[in-house]
Amino acid sequence: METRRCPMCGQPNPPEVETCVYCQARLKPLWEEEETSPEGLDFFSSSPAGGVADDQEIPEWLRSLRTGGEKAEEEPEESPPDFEAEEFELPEWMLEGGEEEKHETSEEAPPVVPPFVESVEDEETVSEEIWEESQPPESLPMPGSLEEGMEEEEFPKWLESLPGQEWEEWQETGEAEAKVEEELYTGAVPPFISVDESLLEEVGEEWLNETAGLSTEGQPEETKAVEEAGEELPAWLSEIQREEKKPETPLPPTPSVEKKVETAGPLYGLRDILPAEPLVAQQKAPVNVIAQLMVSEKQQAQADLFLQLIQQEGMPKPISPSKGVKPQVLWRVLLFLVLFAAAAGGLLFNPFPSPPQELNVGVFDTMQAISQLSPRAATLVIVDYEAGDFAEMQATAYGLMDQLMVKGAYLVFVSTTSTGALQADRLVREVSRLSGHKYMELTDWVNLGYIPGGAAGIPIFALSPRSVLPFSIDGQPAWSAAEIASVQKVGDFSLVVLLSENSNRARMWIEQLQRQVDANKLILGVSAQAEPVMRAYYEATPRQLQGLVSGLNGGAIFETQAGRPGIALQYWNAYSLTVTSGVILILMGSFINILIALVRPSSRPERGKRA
Amino acid sequence: MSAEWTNWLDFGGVLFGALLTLIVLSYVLGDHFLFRLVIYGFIGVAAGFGVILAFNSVIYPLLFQPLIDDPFGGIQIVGLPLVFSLLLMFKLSRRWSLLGNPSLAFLTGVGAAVLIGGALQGTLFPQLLAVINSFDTRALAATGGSKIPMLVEAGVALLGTVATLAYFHFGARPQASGPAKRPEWLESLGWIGQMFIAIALGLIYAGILRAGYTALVERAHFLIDIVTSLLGAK
Repeated sequence: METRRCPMCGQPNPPEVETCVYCQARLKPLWEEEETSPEGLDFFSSSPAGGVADDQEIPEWLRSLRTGGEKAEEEPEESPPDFEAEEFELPEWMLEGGEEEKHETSEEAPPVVPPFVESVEDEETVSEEIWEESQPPESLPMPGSLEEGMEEEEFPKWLESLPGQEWEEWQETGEAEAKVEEELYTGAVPPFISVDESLLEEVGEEWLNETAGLSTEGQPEETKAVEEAGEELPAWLSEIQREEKKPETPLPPTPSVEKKVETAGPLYGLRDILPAEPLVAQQKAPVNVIAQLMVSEKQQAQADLFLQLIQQEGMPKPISPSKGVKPQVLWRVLLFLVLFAAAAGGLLFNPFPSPPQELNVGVFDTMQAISQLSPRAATLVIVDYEAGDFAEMQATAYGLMDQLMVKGAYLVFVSTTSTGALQADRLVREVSRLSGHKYMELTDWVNLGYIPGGAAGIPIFALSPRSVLPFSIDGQPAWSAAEIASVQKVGDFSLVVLLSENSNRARMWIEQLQRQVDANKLILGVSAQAEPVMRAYYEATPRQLQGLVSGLNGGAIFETQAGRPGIALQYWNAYSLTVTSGVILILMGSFINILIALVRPSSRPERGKRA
Repeated sequence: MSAEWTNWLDFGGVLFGALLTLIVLSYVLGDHFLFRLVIYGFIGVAAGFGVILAFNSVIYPLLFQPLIDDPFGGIQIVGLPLVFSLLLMFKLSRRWSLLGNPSLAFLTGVGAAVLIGGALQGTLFPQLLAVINSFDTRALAATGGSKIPMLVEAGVALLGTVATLAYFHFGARPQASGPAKRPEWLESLGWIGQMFIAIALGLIYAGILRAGYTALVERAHFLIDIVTSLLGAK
């Protein structure tokens, strides 16, 4: 559907409406004659064949002038029309000179040259092209012809005062200027058109010429003529001339938009008008406004530095080969050999035959809790450590497990790690084998396997272990033994032993079992690395644990106190020698570094000397 | 399988374990192909065992067994968990992963509630009470020991607790003369807390070293035992 876009608001409108339905701006021009001349308004080239419609629209006086001129050309002997009889408000000077004009236009007179141009021609400074362009259209009554038909003394004052003639008088007499303006704006007669063109040619206003549709060729010559003849020009006109005499700098190419002809609205047909459409209708891309913080130069410098640091972080940096790589490997190998030799020497030569004699309260409390168990008491053993920590956890828990087996406790193993079930199986078999117990699966112990759900699975298991883990890791019914027949929740176990190398995992078990298991039923066997954290639960008031055994040291003390040597005591000598060797290595390394730092000057530049 | 074969298998397993131990210990010379091969093998074995364990300990007994034993009653028990489990499997698809959100939200919500509740009741409140009750004179009298050393010990524990917490207080007020800074008394208390933190970290580091030494001793014992067995010296 064809639409007509409003030049004011840019909205599309139906083609039949005259005003915009959005902003009420007029869409169709008020003058019908504009539609008949799509090329634009051209007051200067209205031909006699302008059509009947044109003749109907133009004023009567203009039509009479045109017809008079035509008749004068065709019938020079015919009597001129009586202009005085016409009821138009023609200027007085025109009425007076109308008769003379009639006679002059009937003759094949040479082109009329304005007096001020004549003076230029006499000096041979104006070319013929300029003169031809300065000619008014032939269809219009030539003001020159009127001027020629008049007596020189009969010229109106405003015409006499045109440039090149009586400029000084024109400047002095404001009345004449006011009269000219009054006559120009009466809209009565086209003489001002010719005068206007002459003025344009004199002044050289290119933009005015373009508006009138005239050619601007020959402009330099024209300007030159005006220069010579414009000694008497007014000051403002001379200023314009001086501006034009300046060397022109090459202008950028004019956008094609400026040369477009307006095709709608009240400015229909005009060229080079400013766009009246709102910015929204032009659909230009929004200008990107750069947000700039109001920061000081110091802050900006800091921000730039920070940005530079961030950018440098993302840039790959080549890793330069360190000179100390080989010595580090050598040192590493040397340290390993020393420590391994210490461990092997401790195992082979048994340098410290005496077992640990110190008294550990946590171990003592653990032994008390186990000793209070009744024979075949149901004991839950939570094995929550990884395979890599089996060595230490086996040494830690060996004496404890041995003591439970001595008491004949029925062991139920469970774990929250995937490999925990395997570690539990290995632990009970190793302890049973090394200590001489003949603990049999399902008869003396059962491995329930893995508790799913992590921390969330522990409370459920604590409330209902039978429903969570109904089968053993071998797929056998786990709760068929008589020793655990009465166990419905974790709190029903006589003792709960937690073995873990991870303080977080041990803490999770303690937190979740806090309301299900009494503190006096819970004992903990942890790695040495978890002892600093877990000791707070043991030494709290009131206690959250009944007993605590930590590391190989705690296991060795347990075995010593129990009088049943096991793995911990087997490793004790080697362990002691290795720890001693480690301490010596640490001290020696630190001492050597201190000496190097004292002897060798620092290779780093001083802060003040940095660039 | 005869006992002889069992012994040979056990002996082969022991030798294979010794070989793996030596390969892992050779990491002290640097990273190499055999070490990575052993580590990858260990990861694969652990993952495979985890899958078998999950099916054998969880999926079969908790999902299939109830349906096999009593299909009508079993579906009432495992129906809702089964639906949630199936929805969770949609997380494998990028297109349909949205359907797994309810299951994930359930897991997250329950897990967070369990952890927070357990931390409050199992760690935060009991440990706060422990610090406060360490100055309970009646409890100290019940132990039968001297009160002065116990009060000193309780005071050190209290100072360590407060100073350590003060060290982690990072609130500061901006000053006109320079950057924001904590009050002087808080700065001093934080410095004391920093000492306690350093001691605790040193203790943990020593525990890690002790654990490592124990593992090294156990592996050394294992290797020496094999060597002595092979040499017939034992």
